[in-house]
Amino acid sequence: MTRPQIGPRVQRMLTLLPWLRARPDGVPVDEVCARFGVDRRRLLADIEALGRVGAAPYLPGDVIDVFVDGDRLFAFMPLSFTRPLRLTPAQALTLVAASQALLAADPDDGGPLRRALAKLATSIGQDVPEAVRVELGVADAAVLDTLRRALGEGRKVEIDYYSAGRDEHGTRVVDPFHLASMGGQWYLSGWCHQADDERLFRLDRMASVRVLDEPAGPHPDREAVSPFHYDDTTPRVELGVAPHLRWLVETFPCDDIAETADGGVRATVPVASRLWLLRLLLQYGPDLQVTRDPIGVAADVPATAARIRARYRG
Amino acid sequence: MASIDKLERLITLTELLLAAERPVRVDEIRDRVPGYAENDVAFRRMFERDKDDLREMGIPIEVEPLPHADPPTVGYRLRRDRYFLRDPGLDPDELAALHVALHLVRFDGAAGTDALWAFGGAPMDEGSEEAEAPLASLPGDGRLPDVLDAIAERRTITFTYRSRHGEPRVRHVDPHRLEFQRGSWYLTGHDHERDAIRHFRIDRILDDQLVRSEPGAFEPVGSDVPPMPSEAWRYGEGEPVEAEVLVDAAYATLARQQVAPTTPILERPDGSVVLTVAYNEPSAFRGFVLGFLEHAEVLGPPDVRAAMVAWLDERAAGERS
Repeated sequence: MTRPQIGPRVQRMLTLLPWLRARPDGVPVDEVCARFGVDRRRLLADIEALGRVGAAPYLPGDVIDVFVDGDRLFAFMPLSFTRPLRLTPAQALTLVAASQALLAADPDDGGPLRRALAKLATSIGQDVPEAVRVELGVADAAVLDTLRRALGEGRKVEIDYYSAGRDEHGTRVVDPFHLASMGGQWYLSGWCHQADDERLFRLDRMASVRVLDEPAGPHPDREAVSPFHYDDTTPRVELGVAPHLRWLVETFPCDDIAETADGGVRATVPVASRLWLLRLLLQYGPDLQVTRDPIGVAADVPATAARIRARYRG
Repeated sequence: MASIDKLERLITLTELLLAAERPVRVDEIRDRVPGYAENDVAFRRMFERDKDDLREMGIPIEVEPLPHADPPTVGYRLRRDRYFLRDPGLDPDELAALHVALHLVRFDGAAGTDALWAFGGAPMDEGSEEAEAPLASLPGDGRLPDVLDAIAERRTITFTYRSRHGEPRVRHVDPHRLEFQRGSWYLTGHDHERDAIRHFRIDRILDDQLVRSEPGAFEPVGSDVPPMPSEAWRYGEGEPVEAEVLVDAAYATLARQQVAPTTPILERPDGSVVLTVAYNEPSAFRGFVLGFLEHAEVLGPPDVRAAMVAWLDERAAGERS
């Protein structure tokens, strides 16, 4: 169908034509393709379709004339067509959100980006650049800096890491691959020498990080891992969620969600970590029931609660 | 073939409306723009669809009554001041920085690098960023551009919202800011019914289309609105309560990272810390404390400590309802 396609083509032309008009010596076709993200065939087909366009009665000053000569693209057009189309709200949002996210990731390294964002206010509205705020997740500035340095220098890191799934503190040696914010959390992906496998490490669970002298090993065949790692073999439980807690099931992956008669939900949930579920049960008490529990997590609740309660003597 | 004709037709229509000093009648459009059908019904259908397509691309075609027309007739026009981009005068390094940002941030469902076409497209001396993995991923939502547009034009928006607790309700909000916080997009704005600043999770808005008022419906507030709190236990309707939480030394660093930077923290000689945490959502506060299992406890005030003890006693007794 042509409908989803025509928009970008028209928009490209409405921005390309005034840009070409300001360059009366023409621009190499390849440069136009690179700048406007279009392949040569598509561009030339569109140029040919346009050729000389204009409204009747085709007076010389009213016609757009666009053509290729000597592999350079030229455009001449009426005075009414001197400037590009303003940005759409979606384009403005993309520019501002991407810029704010990058500034949040790396606040010290934003000179040109900060200036660009301030200037964009002219084009997209005075309040708009500052109207979008992006928080990429909790991370200690020193931890971020150290990991960036290790990545830049291609060295191993030693991490004092808290495993929430096992409630254990330990030290890991990792070949760092990549640092990224996903779903509002910062993660380091890397080869964990303890696990002898690729792992994701949350930055807010790193107590400290040291760069080692040893270079990080090469890992050409690495696969991307996701923050929620579970598969068909991960055990499933069924949770009964009270009506006012319905939003809770939106915060983690569920196989299946069904509404119950009282307005609550019943959800089948993969459980990669018993402690994760145990914490939720401790937090929500009677509002969160395990209605099918093949791994017996709910049975651990009383003993865990009693262990915590033991702190509160006196 | 049909789509090539359409490209030409849409560009010609845009040019005609831009060049005209007054609204253009529909029969004039039909006479002057090549490629429209001869048949009246077919022409009307094509023209309506062209108008919709152009508006979808952000081209602000307006309908206006023609002056001195008898019988009253409408015409179509494009105001140059509303159509044209105001050139921000980006320097090459600034354009390059925007280009890098678009490549390093993955934003689901958002516009791509076409956002830079209006400034001359991607700079020519780039290229290495394309292969790099994203530094940050943001989830998308089709309503985000509409909200941003409403912020820019100061339009009050109306939508049905399902809050954490309670039934869906219609809200009237003066939108001030879009915030990405803890993995979700929020609208921060002035809620008319509560007469206060509130935060609305975009994915809990039930309508696909937001109802928008006329532009200029409220005064700008800009940076007067404080940023959203980062802590989950600050999102409740009740009065804030301050509690002291003791966290063991081994968990002190983790605890520090979970609370707002302004949180008062007292470090004890053994390395454990006492955090003074303000909350107005009790279950989220409980989640924070119990997340440390037996490595943290509520020290006070006495009623908050007693409530935690009672809660733990109930769980320890295996009370399930």
